[in-house]
Amino acid sequence: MSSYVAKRAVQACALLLFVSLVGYAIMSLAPGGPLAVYLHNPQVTPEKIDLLRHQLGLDRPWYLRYAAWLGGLVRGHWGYSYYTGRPVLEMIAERLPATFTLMLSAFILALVLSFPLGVLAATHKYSWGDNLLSLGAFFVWAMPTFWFGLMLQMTLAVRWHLLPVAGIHDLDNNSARDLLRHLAMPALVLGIGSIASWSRYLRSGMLEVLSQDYVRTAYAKGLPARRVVRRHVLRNSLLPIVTIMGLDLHVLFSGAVITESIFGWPGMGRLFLAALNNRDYPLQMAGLMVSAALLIVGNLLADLAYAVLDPRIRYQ
Amino acid sequence: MNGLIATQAAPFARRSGHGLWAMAWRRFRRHRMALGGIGVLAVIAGSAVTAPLITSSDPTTLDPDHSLAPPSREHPLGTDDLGRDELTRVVYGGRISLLVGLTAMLLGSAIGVVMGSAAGYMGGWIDTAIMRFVDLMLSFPAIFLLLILINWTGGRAPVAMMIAYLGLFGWTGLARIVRAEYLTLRAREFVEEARAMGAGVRRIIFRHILPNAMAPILVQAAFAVAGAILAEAALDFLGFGLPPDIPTWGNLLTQAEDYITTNPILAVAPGIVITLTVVAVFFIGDALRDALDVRAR
Amino acid sequence: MTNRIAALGVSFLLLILPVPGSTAGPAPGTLVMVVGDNPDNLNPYLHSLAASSAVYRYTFDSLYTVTTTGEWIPALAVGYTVSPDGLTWTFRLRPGVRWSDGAPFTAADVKFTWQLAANKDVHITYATGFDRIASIDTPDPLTVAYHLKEPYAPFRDQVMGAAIVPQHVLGALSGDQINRAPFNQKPVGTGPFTVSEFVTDDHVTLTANSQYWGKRAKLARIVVRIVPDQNAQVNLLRAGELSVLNVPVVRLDEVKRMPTVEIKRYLEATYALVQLDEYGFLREAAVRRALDFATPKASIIRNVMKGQAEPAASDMVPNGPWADKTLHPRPYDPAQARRLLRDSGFTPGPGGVLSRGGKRLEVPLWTLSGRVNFVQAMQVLAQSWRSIGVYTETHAVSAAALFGQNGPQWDGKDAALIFTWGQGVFPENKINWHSSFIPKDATAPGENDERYSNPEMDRLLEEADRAVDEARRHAIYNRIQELEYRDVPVIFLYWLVDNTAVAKTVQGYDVTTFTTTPPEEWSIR
Repeated sequence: MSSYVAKRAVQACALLLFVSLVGYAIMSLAPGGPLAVYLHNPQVTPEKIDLLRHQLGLDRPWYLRYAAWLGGLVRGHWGYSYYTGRPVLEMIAERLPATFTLMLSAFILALVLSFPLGVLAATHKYSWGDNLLSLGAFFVWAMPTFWFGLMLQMTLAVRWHLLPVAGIHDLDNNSARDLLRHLAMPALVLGIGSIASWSRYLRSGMLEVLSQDYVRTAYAKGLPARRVVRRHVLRNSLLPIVTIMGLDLHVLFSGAVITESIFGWPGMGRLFLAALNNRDYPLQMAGLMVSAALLIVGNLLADLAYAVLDPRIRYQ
Repeated sequence: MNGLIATQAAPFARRSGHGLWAMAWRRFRRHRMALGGIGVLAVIAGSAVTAPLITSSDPTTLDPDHSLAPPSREHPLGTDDLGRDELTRVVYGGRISLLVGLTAMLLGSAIGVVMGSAAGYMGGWIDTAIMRFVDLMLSFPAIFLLLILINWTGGRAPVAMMIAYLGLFGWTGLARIVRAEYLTLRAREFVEEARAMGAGVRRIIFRHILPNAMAPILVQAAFAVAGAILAEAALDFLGFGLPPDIPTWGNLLTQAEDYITTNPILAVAPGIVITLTVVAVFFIGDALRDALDVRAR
Repeated sequence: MTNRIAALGVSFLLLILPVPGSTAGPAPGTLVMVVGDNPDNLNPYLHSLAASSAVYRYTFDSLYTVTTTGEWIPALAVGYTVSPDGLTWTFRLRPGVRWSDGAPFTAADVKFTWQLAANKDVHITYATGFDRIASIDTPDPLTVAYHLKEPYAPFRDQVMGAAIVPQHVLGALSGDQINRAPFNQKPVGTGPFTVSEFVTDDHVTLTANSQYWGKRAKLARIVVRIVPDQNAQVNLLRAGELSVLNVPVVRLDEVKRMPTVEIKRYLEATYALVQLDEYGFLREAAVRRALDFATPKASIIRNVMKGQAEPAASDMVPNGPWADKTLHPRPYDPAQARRLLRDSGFTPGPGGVLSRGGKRLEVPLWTLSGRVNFVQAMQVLAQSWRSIGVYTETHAVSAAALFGQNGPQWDGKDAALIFTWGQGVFPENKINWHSSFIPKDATAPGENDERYSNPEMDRLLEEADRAVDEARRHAIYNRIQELEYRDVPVIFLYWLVDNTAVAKTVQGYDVTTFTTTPPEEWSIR
């Protein structure tokens, strides 16, 4: 197992290197540049812009800049943001707590809700309950995020004053309860898609297993339905959904932009979007690397989970 | 966007050819929701195609002095922020949104099938190269590539570009699924037979194996249509979508955001149409999976 | 299993729902406002976003400052004299002023500010006017004498009103260290408030500065929250979580109905314009004039801006001292526009599109995506231009793409760009209209992106810089505005009207075109 992880780690490094090269090239060759913001600022004179271009090294070809950036990365220097002048690593690090809090809450929420829903739908196939659950799942999946988020905000926070509108904490209140209150809406909005899709995957995975001979044998032996579902069906239907969870980890991380903007959540998504919009190259690259690393880790975790769930799978 | 990837359905080996599709149709028919979905889609697509018959207004002509009018006999859904008839916008919006959804799906599916079958059937270095390329594509957050590439084209040929983006980024999931299918199918007897009888690689891939891998491809394609429609709406919201005067459901929804409290119908109408379309497509996809899966009953 | 989950859910809901009797809203003595972007840099000379100046304005002072009626009053200085040749400006500084960290404020800080603005190793973004300074003398700690290279009329507006930064904090640092100094996030200033906490993309807390030289602030704190979505901002106000908010036009009616807030309406010194990039047909003033006639400004103000804008005839704010009151915007007159184009030799071709010499009159419109009003105005404009036979496509793109070096301004073809220009209340506009500011190529910077070139304009702009005499300066700027009107280098669309909602619990807060009432006088019940 450990040699397998080591092999995957080497592959991951190669992939990250390649991602960084392709990402840097696309980013540098795309139209627009980091200085566009200044071009539109009445206070910034043309000479200043020329000077800035030189100071930031933007007058050198992109491959030289890439080499310098990579050299720094290897030595642990991620560079400085063009806009804040702050170390990129520090800017990313300060976002991690809020980002992971939101991401993991959405993940746990999706886990807790999608399993019972999925099992229920599968064990009552084609009943009205199943159809209703399907309709509900598809409905929320089809709802655009910003629409759902603003609607929740208008009703729960503005009309009924049940929850705070936005932000991560009330002023002068750092209690866990306060955090939970601020977390409730964004976590639901971010996780709702996963709730819907995971419960669908669980349903279809279970339906497939339910029609297998060994399940029918288990029923024939007179085992109680609950026991069959839990011991035989559920366990064997988990493989496909684990893959999706591995991929969704990445989506929850970098795809949270809209949720973060609407709920003023100080996460990575907003940082990354701002970096993209401003062409803040060092920050943009850092965001790309973190997000790619998370995808790789998510896939690795999923593969390892296979081995735990299915004793027939062995990694060398 | 969540990438919905269909679970693998078992391949159906060649059996007495007659009745395969008939059987599938029989099973499909049991899904009342899917039948309803087909009905809903037919109505939505039909009204998009016959738009000029349904409404006499023009979808792009502005009438700013009569903006944000409430529903009336003349304007059943009222008018939008620049005085265009909302019903007309929704009906014509279906043309673009469905066109984007369908063609992006076709493009993505074509790439996904070719890549996936090449990887799965050929194996070896071709497989490695294609799968590492898939990893590479997945490593980029969609937003990174989309935002940069959309700026690159600077708004020229917007609809064709949108289709290209969604198609070019939407094939990786399908490629993985098709590859897995081919990995199991290529060792089957009927493939061995075909090979023994001297069939070429291309013929084996497309004529012999592909029909047996159709079930997961169709299901995935259904989800891809829905995904493309929703992705277009999300891009509109982030300001990277189609030009504002082109009516698409995503544009309509984004433009309505500011009027949620004052003219809620502007947001509700396109919202309902998007949701109905996507839900209908999902139910059809679900039913297809059941219908084409020989083991399920 | 289902029952256990249901129980878990119910207890979770009980945990997060509000305790009866608890109220939302800011703590006592705290005023809460909101900005849409994360402030990038709180050093006034290094920032590039308006969100940054919205924060640092509470922490820094200038020598003189502008009041709500547009008059200059002493701040860090107590008085000044100008030498007869206009080359030496001598300021007497306010005694007893301290920086928020307790260090004394002296003439060395004023001199250092100039040195910072002129430092080529620092990523300076704001230095207008500082390049005219030849040297600075500080004969004693409370006297500063600026020696100029040449007479420079805008000196007062540009340098006297610029923030003074502390020498004792930054003076010993190299240029690169200044670029990356912690000061940029937690500045040390002389202003009424000081930054006590900065949680990026969440909020900045400013607490009353106990060292402040003026009246001690009545508020204990100002909290600036950072929330990007405009609708979420309005929702914050409606839920009572904000004290002050600049309300977007589309939700103004709804906010006006709130019993808890009052609306302050004022003209912002920012105008919306259509920049006409002069490459082909747009090089002809007659064509630009025709497009101006075909621009339905009144309809845009009425229907797109819902009346929250005022007509613009030039680039001088209408309620300021520099506007030429005799100028009025061209009326919307498509017939006149068609006539002008026909007289210029254009003839209608297929689809009614005008052309001349086998070339179609094509003027694509571009604007910023995400700015709802621009996107709407663009569509109205496009329909109107098409109606007179101009072939017009519409594009909404990001700022980086619109103003970037490979953007639409650089493809060598006619184009029209809609955006706003924060001219301010001062008249200096040389960088917009002087031919020396036309960018030489796509990678060269330059603010005269419309490529307007007129020798008379160049001469007037140079004279205006040197005209220290107020009456003469007025005459020059009036002539400049006449040329703007005659030549239409850009189409002036409208001046923005801001509607600031202020909670009725807030007292002493007012805002005009020029500025707000001094923040130390704000209080909250």
